Amino acid sequence: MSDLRTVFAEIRNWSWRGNARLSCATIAALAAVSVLVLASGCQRASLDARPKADISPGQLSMFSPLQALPAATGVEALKVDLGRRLYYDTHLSANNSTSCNSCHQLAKYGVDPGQAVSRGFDHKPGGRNSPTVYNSGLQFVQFWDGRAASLAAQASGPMMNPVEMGMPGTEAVLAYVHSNVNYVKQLKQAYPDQKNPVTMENVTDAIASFEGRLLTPARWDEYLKGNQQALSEDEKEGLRVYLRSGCASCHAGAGLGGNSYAKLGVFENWPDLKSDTGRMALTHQERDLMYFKVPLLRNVVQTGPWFHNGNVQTIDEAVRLMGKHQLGLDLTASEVTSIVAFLNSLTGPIPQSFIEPPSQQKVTARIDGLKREIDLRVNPGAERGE
Amino acid sequence: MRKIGWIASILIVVFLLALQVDKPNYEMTPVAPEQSVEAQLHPSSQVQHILQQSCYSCHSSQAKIPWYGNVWPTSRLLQSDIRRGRARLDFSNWTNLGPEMSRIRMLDACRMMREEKMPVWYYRAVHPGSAPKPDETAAFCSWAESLPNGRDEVQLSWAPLSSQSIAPLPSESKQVE
Repeated sequence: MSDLRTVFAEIRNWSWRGNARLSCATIAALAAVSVLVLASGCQRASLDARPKADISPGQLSMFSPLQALPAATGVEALKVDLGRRLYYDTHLSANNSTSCNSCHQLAKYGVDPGQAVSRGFDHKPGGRNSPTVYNSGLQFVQFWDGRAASLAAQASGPMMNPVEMGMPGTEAVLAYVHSNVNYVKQLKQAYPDQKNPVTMENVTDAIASFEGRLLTPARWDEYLKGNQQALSEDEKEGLRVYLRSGCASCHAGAGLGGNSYAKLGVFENWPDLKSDTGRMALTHQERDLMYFKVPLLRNVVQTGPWFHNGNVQTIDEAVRLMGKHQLGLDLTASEVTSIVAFLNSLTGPIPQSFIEPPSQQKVTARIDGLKREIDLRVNPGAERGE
Repeated sequence: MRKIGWIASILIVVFLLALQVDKPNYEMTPVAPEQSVEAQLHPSSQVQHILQQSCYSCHSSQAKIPWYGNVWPTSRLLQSDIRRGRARLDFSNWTNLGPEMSRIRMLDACRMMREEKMPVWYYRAVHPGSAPKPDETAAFCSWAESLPNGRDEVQLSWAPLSSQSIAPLPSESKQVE
């Protein structure tokens, strides 16, 4: 109590007049800080200005190189081969027009080039942009909203989707597979322990076995393994900008993405919050509004148009929008160019021999108890000019 | 001369008071407990303590905002730091990360603490004792190293179809509503 009294006495004795100069200085200092904060608020958030700083091994530890898988052998090789045939088989759609390859074209980096959204078996537009199938096995979940836990779980989705391949159900898919003597033979060989191997599980497992091997190691992987020459100076500069601006917060790991969900529009709302709500449409949870699986950046320069609705036409614009909405940065044109230069180093060669379509062939099969010729050509519809 | 000083002081005070209208929004919305890093990764109590003492002010939605966080201009600084911090790393929202990214973020946090880049220098200056001690950093890092390496699992992610793993398509679920 007596302490308090002394404090009050101090305050009473404290001459405001005598300390006016001091308080003026304090207020002036506060004002100066305020002006600085105001100024920095108005200015764009600038990036660390050390363009030639070394890329530390610590930063690179957020990534891991892609190892090419050893060639499949034995039963696994049979599954891969079966999966490849199924991938190209248009009979897995309602009107024999559409295969996996129709929208995820293996010769075109696994996408439907130039299409914002792909058109399904009867030309109706799909809901979202066709993501690339290359390296998709690296992802922790599949689809833009992650509604499938694995490649196998993903594979049956489009077959039965009323817009995509339009098969009425698993029975229809299995009836077709059953009718194809080659498939039945291959399934028996690939799943020798099973009494009836003609199951949806095995069909999707075979497709997944093929898709899981669609990996595209690139120059970036050589760089990660220690070859400094694998990236050009421009690409390394791009990597520095990529790291400085914080792209790697989400686009890290073996695939540079594909291992988390993120909200589209963190610092600034995405302009369209209505037509696609992202994961919220799946989970019905408000907190999932505009959350999408972070896409992989491998081959990203080749997989346009970009984003879930394919509305962005150039990679430069895609990078600029990411800076603006996800990082709160107005990337300059030269920073964007730099980042795109780096992204180019993530493009790996397409494994041509591995994706070679199965030979054009007709086989005899039984449908509805009758012997019929089945056309196993890649895309019979293409000849009719569809 | 003294008069000008007084007028200037009053003007500055009025200016500062006027700027207090700029109310910060820290978006400290409560999140489901099962979304937190504690529920997802079950760190030891020591690691939890480090996270809370060194990281949560800017990297969680459970931060206690100090009084100066509601006073301009410091409110501006805090708001921008917390926003930026949570955009990159949010310990209250860990369910959005796959195992690979979960491990990457923790190893990155370890590196930031080791290199004394985090907590940021001005946070450490204002909050003495917030920086983890070397043995705490070491404990955190060895825990982060022990997290499952998603990469190995990723290679096997084309696992067989399980019956419950296909959720309805958004278009279908809309029709149901």
